[in-house]
Amino acid sequence: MIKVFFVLTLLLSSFADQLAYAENTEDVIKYRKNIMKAIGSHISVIAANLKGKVSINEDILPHSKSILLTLSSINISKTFPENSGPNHSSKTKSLENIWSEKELFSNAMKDSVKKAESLVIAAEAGDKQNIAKSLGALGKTCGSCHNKFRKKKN
Amino acid sequence: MVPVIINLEKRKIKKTIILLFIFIILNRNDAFSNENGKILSFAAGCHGCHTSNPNQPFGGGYKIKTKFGFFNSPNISKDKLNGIGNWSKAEFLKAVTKGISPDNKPYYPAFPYNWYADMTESDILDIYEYIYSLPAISKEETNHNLRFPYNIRELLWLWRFVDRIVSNKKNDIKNNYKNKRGEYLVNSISHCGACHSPRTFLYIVKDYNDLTGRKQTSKLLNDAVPNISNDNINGIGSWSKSDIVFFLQTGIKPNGDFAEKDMSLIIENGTQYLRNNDLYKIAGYLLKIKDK
Repeated sequence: MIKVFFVLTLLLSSFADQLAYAENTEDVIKYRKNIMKAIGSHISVIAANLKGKVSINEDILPHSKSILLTLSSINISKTFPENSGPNHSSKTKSLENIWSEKELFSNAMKDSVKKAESLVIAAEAGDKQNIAKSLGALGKTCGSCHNKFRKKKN
Repeated sequence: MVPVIINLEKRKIKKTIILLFIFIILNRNDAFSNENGKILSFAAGCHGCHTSNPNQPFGGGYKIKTKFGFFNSPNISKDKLNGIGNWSKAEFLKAVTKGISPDNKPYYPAFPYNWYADMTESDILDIYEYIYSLPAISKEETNHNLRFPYNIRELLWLWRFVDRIVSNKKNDIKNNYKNKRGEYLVNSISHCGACHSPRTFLYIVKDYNDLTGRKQTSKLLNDAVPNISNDNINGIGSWSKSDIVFFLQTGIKPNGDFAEKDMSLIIENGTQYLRNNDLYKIAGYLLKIKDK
């Protein structure tokens, strides 16, 4: 009886562990998606001003700074932990090479941070054409990172 | 005697001024023509597809991965040995609008001659002159690497025959896009349908006005292409004209996301060079295209 109880406890605890692990994986995937969405939203705010959809130009600088702050504070190992790739969950669009080509991924992220810094400088100067150029350059680095490390959308 | 000499001098000065004026006008026209050729060579994808090294424009060697194998774009610089340096204007026009080489061989439809067929002669010749204004690139051409039976070029005659029957595009009847600049740019020069029109039997585009995208042909290729009709849910109907223009300049979508790989290359090497009013004409036309 004690043996049966012991085996059952062991099985249950292993199941609970797996459940917690799965929850953590899904949570971190959701978490990083929210970070990307937040960056996308800041970009949309700047773009709306550049397109002339709204004229709240004073928003360009704070949203540029927000992009820089968000991008530069991403902790890659915590936001993209080993157990959160496509082999661990179907909910992620991340590709496996984020983990197999860590340095490449980290450099791509650093490149985006540099472009975000240039965006802030352009936003401080206030020339819309230069801001558009800097935003486009930032977009290119984000796009290039997505092309290498994110599954293509259908 | 003196007044006669003064009159003669005056006439000489007048003649010189007139000649100088004609010279300036002619040069201004050339400059305009080359600028048009340059922009169109980007918008039509000539530069993007025929350049693998930015320091060797139109030198070819750009690889296109398809389900039939790899296409290697040819050298179309003015190099006489490896490029198109020996081509006449008539041969260039035939190649671009009919998809037939000077030695009467058919081109693979990876080269979108079916769309270019509607381009005006003057626009095509502006591109020709622009290419000829750049240095010759002596890069040797690399053969395509296609699977059997696609590697048999002669079979393209059969494909062209079927294409003529199945497709709604008849290349011997030139569409007139006068006063329809947006439609001209979308359906001819920028050949958006080459990717965004659904393909049917034998990879033929049945309806050249249908821009509702393409489903993935193979899991390995991941080659699905989005719907760019004016449908609010499946297409880009919720985008405004300025959203489309901004996207074609920067690759940034209205939600802050970015263009996928192939489109980002098209923007980088093509649409970002178009003039603002042309981009607005494209946007205006795209927003009229209905979902099928």
